[in-house]
Amino acid sequence: MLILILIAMTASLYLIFIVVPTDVNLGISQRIFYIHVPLAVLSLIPPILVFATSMVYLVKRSPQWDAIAHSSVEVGLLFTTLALITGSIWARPTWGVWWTWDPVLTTFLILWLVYLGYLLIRSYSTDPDRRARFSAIVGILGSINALAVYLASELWRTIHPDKVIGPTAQENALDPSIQLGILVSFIAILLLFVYTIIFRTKLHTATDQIGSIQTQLDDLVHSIVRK
Amino acid sequence: MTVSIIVIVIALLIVTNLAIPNSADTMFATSATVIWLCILIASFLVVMRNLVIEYDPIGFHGLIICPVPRDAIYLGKALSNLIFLLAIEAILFPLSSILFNIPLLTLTVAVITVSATLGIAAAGTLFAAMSVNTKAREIMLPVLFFPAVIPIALTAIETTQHALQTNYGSAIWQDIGVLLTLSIAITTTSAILFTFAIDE
Repeated sequence: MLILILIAMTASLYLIFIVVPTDVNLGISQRIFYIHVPLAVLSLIPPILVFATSMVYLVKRSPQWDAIAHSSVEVGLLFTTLALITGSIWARPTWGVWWTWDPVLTTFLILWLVYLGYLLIRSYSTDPDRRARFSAIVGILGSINALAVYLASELWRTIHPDKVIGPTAQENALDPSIQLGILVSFIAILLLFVYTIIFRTKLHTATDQIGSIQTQLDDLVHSIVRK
Repeated sequence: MTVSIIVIVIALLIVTNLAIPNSADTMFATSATVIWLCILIASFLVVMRNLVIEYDPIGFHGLIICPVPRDAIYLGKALSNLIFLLAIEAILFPLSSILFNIPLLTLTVAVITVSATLGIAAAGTLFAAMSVNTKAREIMLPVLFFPAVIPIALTAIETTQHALQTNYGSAIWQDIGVLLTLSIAITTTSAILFTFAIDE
């Protein structure tokens, strides 16, 4: 899968910097959109994943679901951070500021804080069962915040550019080479997203298993010492 | 406790009064933000007080071993926080209305306040019960509480600003509907999740 990601990333960079035309109004700064838009769109998937896996964890109490939720938050935090940074880099030459209190930006920042809270509560909870339960609770409430992200962009005033891609976009709003650039970038970043979640889930599952073996070993050593 | 929160809230009003401009439109926007900032700080102090009480081993574990449903424990704690916060708001709003010379004592503002406070109290009650069982409880509570209630606070500020404008009309009830939906969603989720939070 890593080779596939590498090929998609190379193709995406080639399209962004060589093939797609420079935007007449926004100039060269618009090229960061090919990275920013997929990052921002994919940042909205972890809340759905966290909500679903956390709910299943609270019902079934299987550590595997907790591992998926944990990985989703880590990847969500990374993607949200990158979306905020790339958006800020684009905003400086276009809007004249690094940051503006646009509802979409504000709610992404809230989402970022929720992810941070999720990871902090994991690191401050010592008992594995309690850690998983507490983080599942934060994850579920954080997903409701993600709903607020959606509501904010749809209901409140925003200075974000109109949608030119997706179900609500106008037809023929984009040049075909730009559409291809966005599509390839989206596929490349989606592959990276999926790979990172799978990789981190395997890592967390392995860590949990090692922790469980360690506890069993400690119990065994204690029982031998007592005898 | 009530007196100390009121003193803090008045101190905040005094400190932030310099930020409030004279023109009517901007004054409404800034006043609404200052008032909700005061409510957020007051809510945090109320929730922090929960945490201090629950840190006492007899306090929290005494509640858990009580032969009552966990939902009832949550409901009792959330209701007491809600009533406490509403009592503080009952002092804050007339005071702000006089100090900032804005019409805060209206039905719409009252509905907005109760709707938002419900969600804030519900989320705060849940997070106080969770934070008390972590290593760094004083650090964890603000980290969990503020991001969870910011969407409610932002919606409440936006709605209060609209309620203060006389020409906004009946569209205010649509804004209140959004606030109430968000608040009820957080309250219901918090109530369901509380059982899992204290599932020792």
